[in-house]
Amino acid sequence: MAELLRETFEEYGRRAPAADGLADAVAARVRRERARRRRWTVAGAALAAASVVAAVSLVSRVEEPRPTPPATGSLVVEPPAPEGTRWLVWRGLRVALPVAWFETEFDACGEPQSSGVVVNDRPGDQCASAPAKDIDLLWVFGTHRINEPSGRTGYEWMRRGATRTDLTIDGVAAQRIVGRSNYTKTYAEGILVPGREASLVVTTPEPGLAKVILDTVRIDGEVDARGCEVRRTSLHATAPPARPGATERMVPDGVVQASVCRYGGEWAIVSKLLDGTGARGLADAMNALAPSDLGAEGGKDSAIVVTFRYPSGPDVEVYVHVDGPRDVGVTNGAVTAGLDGLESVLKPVAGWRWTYEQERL
Amino acid sequence: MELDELVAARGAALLRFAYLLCGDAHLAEDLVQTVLARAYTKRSRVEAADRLEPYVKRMIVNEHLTWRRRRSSGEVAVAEPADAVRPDASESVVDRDEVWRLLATLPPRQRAVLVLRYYEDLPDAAIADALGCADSAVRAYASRAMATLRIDEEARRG
Repeated sequence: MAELLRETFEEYGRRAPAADGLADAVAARVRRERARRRRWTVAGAALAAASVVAAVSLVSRVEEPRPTPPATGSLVVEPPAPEGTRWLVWRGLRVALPVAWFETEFDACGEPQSSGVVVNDRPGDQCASAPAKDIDLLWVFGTHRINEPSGRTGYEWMRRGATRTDLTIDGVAAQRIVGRSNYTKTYAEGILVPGREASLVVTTPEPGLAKVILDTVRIDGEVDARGCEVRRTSLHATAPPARPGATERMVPDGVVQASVCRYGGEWAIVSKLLDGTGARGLADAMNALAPSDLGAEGGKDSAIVVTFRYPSGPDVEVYVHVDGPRDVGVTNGAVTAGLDGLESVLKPVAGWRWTYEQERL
Repeated sequence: MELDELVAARGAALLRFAYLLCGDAHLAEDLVQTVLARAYTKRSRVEAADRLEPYVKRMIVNEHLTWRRRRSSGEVAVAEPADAVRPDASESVVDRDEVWRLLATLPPRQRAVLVLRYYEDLPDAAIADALGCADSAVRAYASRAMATLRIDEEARRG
């Protein structure tokens, strides 16, 4: 059989297409590819309007140094995202995405209908619909989901048929995974970060887009680019705040910045940075809350922790427990209040009870 | 060797190799052109390879396997070449045509292993390196592929 195979390959090898014109054909492809790349890298309003271009423009700008965790009393400076994009920050991972992607449209069944972000597997309920064709999606989810039983949003392709390559991003071990999504039926490429138990996967008909988006991924240290601790084992105040006045008021005057960090299962799943007016507005809303004697315990693995910063002196951390088996409320470790009146201010920033992570983008 | 030289001197060999991998003339041309265009865009890295031709062939194999993954599951490889020859009275020619037809029924990795082993004469370790798998996996692929070809051949002969 081996000899017959050799003969067959020799015989049929002679029937292969001729190489005439191969060099010209390759040169034409190279020219087309270069033109396509030029189109992608041109920054401009017209191109920025297109999600693909917005995602890839000025990619080189993300080569900024990894941010240093802010010291207590200093302000956080978030690295700028490439033009036309915004950082998505989740578990200390950052990825630059077109601004429009933060408004992903879903149909009644929760299936994505426009290019955007899908956080922690929200789509895919029991309806018989499917994601829209030819859209680009970033899937953000915990690595534990990879081994869950396959469903309609299954990540089965990541278990079989995908290729994995080890790499290091900002000094953190990661894996690049490439395959074909069994859900969207398109090319799929992602980055797994075991140390963060996190996965970022792009599904798209255009493999080049996945690469460009994933090349923007940065991994922050113990504190993310918006000043949130990436992982916290304690989500409760353990001591009164050190800042003068914080034993009388929830948030003493003079706030100039606030990091709003929502935790789920110890991980920072929402990170927002409020400057000036936004920070002061949140401080005012917290100071206006009615005092409570009930305490603010909530659940042990979920809370919104707001760190208020000042031009100098110690920060003030406020713990907001909006759900959980025990008393909900707000506390800075010395002053405790109820939640009434806070929802309208905090919900747009970090979500509220029973909101999906998707809604907290 | 530089890429220009490779295309000029070994372009036909690359096309033969791609054709044996995928069994379709148009697909083979597309495969080789795609890989070479990509090689040109990463020219310095590709030309830094110790041996350029095996490096490019490895790119061709991997691109081919990726393409196969991207295809819908219902798509079937071309069983007969577009330029299939007229049946010959010679039994050996008939056998080769039959083997070629059976090759089209193999999973792409199994077929790639046979091409690399019996056309390129690569040792299993080199095949494993090219496919990004273990030597034992190569032996398993080859064993399964040969078993399939033998079974089908025996069935044909009755």
